[in-house]
Amino acid sequence: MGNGADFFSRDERGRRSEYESLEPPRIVNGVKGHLIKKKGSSDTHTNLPFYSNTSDVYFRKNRNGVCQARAYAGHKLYLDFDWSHTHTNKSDGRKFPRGTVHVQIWKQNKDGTFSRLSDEARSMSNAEMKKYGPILKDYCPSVKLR
Amino acid sequence: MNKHKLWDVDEKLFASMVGNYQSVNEENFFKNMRYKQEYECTSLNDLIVSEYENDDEIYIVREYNEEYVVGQGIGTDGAKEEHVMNLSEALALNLYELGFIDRSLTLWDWLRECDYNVVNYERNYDIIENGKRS
Repeated sequence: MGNGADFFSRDERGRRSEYESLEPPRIVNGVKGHLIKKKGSSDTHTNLPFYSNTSDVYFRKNRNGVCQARAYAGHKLYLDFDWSHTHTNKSDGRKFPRGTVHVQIWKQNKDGTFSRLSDEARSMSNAEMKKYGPILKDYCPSVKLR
Repeated sequence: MNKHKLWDVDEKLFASMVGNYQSVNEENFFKNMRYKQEYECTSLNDLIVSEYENDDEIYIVREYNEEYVVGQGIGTDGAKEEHVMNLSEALALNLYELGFIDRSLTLWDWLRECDYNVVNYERNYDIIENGKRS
């Protein structure tokens, strides 16, 4: 697979990827992560992509460090792990402080678009902590999983 | 398309604006933002205002349905930005107190000052990518 640039030349649907690798991928606890950014020097504020290639999780960083991860199932967007900001749920007022992961779940619709499974964020499940916790900590040692 | 339930504060805001718009552009803004929040969930983000397109270098990014990131500066890369949960909170941000601009304006004041001419409703990257609404 090489240094990441090889498999990053095309996205899941065979198109030339609009993202670029910031460092070689890491494998932690059997999960492959990759720090990436949108190509180009201008900040478009685009989030991590709909689809992955060979990585299980893509990471995004800003001036404050690695701040978000997006996990994929079958190469399709599935979970967002975000700890870059304080999040408040609308229905129950539950707060997730900055630095603590809150999770959003996505599903792909029949027409190819993605929508959230729930309007509300939740904490990481035990299974998610076991699978993704080590790689989240590897990329951002200060992150609180729950 | 499923209709997303808005925060109560945004429901009240949108209701309070009906018949009280200060300009055609303001009416367009609130109608467009209501539609986006209710029907355009975005996973890739929706760049409402770009820092490259106004002298104060302010940017406004909509995430999911109604979360907003408001920041300032080209190349600041997240160093100067606030993340809020709905449009009401975003519009109430005081850009002077945040150190974004040198005059005392909320984001809403700032948008009115330029009569919303900096707003672009066509940069929901989900739609650009897919050609469809989520």
